[in-house]
Amino acid sequence: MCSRLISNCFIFNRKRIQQLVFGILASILACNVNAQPEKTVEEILQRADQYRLDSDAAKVVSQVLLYENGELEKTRQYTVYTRPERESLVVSKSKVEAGQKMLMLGDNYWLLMPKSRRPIRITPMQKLLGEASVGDISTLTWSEDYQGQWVQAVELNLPETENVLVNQLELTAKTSGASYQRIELWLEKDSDFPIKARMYLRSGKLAKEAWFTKGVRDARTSVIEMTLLDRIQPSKKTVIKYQEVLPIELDAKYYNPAYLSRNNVSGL
Amino acid sequence: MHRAIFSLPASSLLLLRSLLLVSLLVPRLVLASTLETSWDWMVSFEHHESRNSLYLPEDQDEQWQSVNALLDVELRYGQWLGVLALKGNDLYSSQSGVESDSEGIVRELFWQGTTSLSGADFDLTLGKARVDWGVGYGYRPLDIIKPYRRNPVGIQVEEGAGVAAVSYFDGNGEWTLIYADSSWASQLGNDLDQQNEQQGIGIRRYGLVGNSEWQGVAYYDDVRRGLLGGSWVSVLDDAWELHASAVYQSEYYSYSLPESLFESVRSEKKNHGLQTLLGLTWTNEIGQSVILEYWYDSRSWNNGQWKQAYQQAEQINGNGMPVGLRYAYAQPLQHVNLVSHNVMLHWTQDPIAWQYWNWSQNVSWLQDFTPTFDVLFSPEDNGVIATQWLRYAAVDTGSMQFDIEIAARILTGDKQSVYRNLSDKRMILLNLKGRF
Repeated sequence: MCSRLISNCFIFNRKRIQQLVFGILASILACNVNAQPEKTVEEILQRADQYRLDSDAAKVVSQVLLYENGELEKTRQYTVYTRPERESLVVSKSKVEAGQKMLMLGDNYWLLMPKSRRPIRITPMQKLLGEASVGDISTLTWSEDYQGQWVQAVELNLPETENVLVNQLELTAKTSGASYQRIELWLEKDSDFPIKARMYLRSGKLAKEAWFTKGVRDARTSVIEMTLLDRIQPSKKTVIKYQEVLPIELDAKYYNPAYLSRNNVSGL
Repeated sequence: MHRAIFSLPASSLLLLRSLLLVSLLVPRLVLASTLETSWDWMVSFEHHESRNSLYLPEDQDEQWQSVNALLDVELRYGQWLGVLALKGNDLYSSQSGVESDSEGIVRELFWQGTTSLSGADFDLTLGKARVDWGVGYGYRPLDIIKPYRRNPVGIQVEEGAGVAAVSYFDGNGEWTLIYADSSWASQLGNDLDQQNEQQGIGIRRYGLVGNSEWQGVAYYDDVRRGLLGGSWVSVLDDAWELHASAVYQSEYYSYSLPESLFESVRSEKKNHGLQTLLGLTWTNEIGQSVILEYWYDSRSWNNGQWKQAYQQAEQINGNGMPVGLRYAYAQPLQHVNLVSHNVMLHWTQDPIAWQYWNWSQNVSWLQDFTPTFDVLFSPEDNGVIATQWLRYAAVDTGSMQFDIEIAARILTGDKQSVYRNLSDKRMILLNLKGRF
């Protein structure tokens, strides 16, 4: 009887110890999940940016696929030349937009329509219009346009694969030319690879939800695709495929608005 | 009668040949020398309604229908660019005696390249090219090499001028030295257009300062004998843009009112022409865009002159005098602007807007539908030209596009207003357009 009691006591103690160990482990894990990262938010954002654009000046070839109700409706092809100080030149390569170009110098924008010889100055609001917003194609970094704030570390449910631990950040536009007023951004906890983003308009309305696809480009882990789900019109989906990213810097005159209508720009 | 026009003046042909030679001598940028083409086509089914005008002969029919067509191709090969058009006029017309014709038009054909001199790059343009320096939606005073008609409802083909230009691009803008000959046109303009054909030389500075851009132009030609112009464009915030432009020219051709009923209206060289334009653009987040502009053109007739013209034409008509004297009062309609003071309101809605309203969110065809509306108002005589375009993007795959557009224009206003006294009363057009 005594031995049974001892045995029961042992069993009881073993259960208690297991519970205690699991409890401590769970607490440690919970602490780790919710712990604020040691890096600054700026460092995290810059690291996240590098998965999309890993050099100061680059040529980015993108293919944009627009879907409606799951069916491919139209495609667009763009070549974007970016350089520091939030400057980029977008050259449309699709047949229906042949000759169309957009120049972005900080918060100043110019649009050259096909077969036109005069760039039109446009406002930041006009830049946002259109189905495949040029802002989504040309802006490949967050750290220059947005001020970030760490919100929490959470486990994010992924649609098709296993869940992932992420840092959730809140980004607020620090320039009037930023495509969105506010962005909620989820970055993989260890690598800072972007997983998901929700983009809000100036009115506070949720405009789009973005999902980033991980892949390898030039032997580096990179964002190879961005899927935009239209939250205002849920039947629409845009997939932006980053086909080529090369470290190329154009001559300064290509970033001169008066140079947009030159033949050389169309030949890029 | 069928006719085909592919003609340039002899001096222009000489320049065209010489530019070919120059293009071979100047060092080229490394460009892919593959021929790239971009095609546009348009078929326009037009319904016109006319009214009797004091200034114009009566039309045979109160209303008539016609079909016009355009095929346009842009060819780009290395540093060469050409835009060629084939225009079919009155392929069908309900009016008796009107026969179809066709025109081949070289809209542009130019070479652009870069050459270095003392370590600085200079960009050259040689050939027939459009020079669009103007700012504005309804009117652009700074289109000084050749004025282009704005916002047509149907088929319109604009051509470039003969140009030899050198540009230097610096960190803040561009310096341009230009020689231009506006007579390089295969489409025959009206009498005033022909009188205003000019050859001249000028200099232009374009600059970007902060959020604002400006232009200054000085040009001397054999018609205007001195012209100074400028423009300024600034984006104030996310939604608002302001633009302004002004041109002063020493001399210009314009029609004058005769002092007696027995004399005809005739064109004369006059001094001190002034054009000014002020406008603003507003766009909101859901794709509503509004442009409001006012412009003044001292070369056009003012309200007082038009009133006097109306009275004199009425007297000629009442006195049974030769109709030619009365019809001569239509000649000032050749002025670039029909009246001196002009106000334009433009509204358009981006298709993105349909997504913001519950009632339209799920109407799929609306997502490809763009409405546009323009009102041109003459404040001195209350004349109105209202135009609407309803465009539906029927097919857009990325490699080809097909649009269906319904355009309508109505000309109305007070009884003596200039727009009310044009022979066009209203027109409705069905335009089928494509690109590939």
